[in-house]
Amino acid sequence: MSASATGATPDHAGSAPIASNLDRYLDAASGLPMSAATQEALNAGWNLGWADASRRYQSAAQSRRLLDSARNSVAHRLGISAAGIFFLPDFEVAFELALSGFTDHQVAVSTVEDAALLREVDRHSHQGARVQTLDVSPSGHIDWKTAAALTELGPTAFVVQDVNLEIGCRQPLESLAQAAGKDAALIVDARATLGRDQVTADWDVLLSDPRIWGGPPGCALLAVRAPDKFTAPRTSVGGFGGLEPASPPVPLVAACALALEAAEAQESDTAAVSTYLRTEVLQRIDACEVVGEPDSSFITMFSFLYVAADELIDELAQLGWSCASGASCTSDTRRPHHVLTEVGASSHGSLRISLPPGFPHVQAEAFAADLTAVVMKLRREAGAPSA
Amino acid sequence: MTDPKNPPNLGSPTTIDARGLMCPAPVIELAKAAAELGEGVIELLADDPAAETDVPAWCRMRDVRLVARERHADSMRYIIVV
Repeated sequence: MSASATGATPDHAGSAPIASNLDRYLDAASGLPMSAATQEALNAGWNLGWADASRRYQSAAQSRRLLDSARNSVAHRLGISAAGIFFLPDFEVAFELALSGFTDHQVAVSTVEDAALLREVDRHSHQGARVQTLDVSPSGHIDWKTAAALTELGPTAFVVQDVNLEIGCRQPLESLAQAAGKDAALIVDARATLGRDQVTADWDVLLSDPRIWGGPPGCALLAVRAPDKFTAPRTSVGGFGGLEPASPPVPLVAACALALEAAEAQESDTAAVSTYLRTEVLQRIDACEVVGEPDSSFITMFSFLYVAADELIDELAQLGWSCASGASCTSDTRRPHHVLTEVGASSHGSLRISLPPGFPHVQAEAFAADLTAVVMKLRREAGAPSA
Repeated sequence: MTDPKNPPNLGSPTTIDARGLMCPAPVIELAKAAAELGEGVIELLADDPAAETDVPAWCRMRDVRLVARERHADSMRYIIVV
């Protein structure tokens, strides 16, 4: 695409080849860079959508049109009305709002949810809400029968990622929704699915972070299937039904919507490459396991015994590879990631691989070779026993 | 693996003091001791919080038994039968 191209359309982004610096990027679950088309949309947004959308003059009407069009686009993709689409400044704010829409429900949350969400649920419980904890199996899955039985205690809002962002496991949310019936509300953290995979069908509230589908930072999506039944407190100053900030960042919202269109238009299936990579790594490296979902198409968590994850990540970074870990030595708290603890996985040599859409097979081959060499080297240096 | 009906003598374990060591060092010391010992009982002392996850996971992956976990004032004491 030429740098001087104007007029951002999803077609541009959809057909754009994977940026060369992404062919060693294995942390797509943390975010993707904005495509040239999304950046152009953002730039256009600063010109077209600078005015306060709540005012009554022409430039405000222009902002409003951009906002409405963005909302309509996202709503269409999710199969709900635009009245249920909200853009909030960040993911935690969006989640806080999601919870406040179900004050008459008890909250059931799985132990492998995002740490920030667990903190927020904890705060909710200190404010008097009844909170139930859903334990998970060694593969990270909730038991949907046990979970559904919680509705016998009263209406229940379930907080669950449809696909776990750390260990890739897909939760049985369809079964849960079916078994729990109308007394259940599903608050789904769909960051690992929206824009690249099938989002679980039965959500009542859906949350996502546009950075993961190549949108700009500073914007989180909250989608509500039945906004008229959603009891979150409205403010008189807030925009769009009183749920959003008074003046939403129109250019960011417009760019988020365009990036989502582009992401969905793109062939993002990484299942074959993901399977290849897992098989290859398990074959080449001993004392190693896949944590969580054994056949995830997007996120794979490996655990290598006798390897310090910080050294592993740094050595791979030296070779140009970008990966994440859940080990204590890569965290500020010096504690292993709670998801790894919950599923009983060894954390010290944990390595999370999340493939960007269109990740080339030949690069997966190169990565498997580099990873094998680095793990062997680190084990040798640490004096690890041959397994 | 050990027959649970005939536990080995727990009185004379090989002790590894991994206090002060951070991950993955405690697990590496444990694995080295296990390889050297072949069969027997290992007492591991470790104060790295990550060991609380990593020692049980190592035992599961290596198919050996973690028979006890005791929280002491300054560390955890693990008894492992290899």
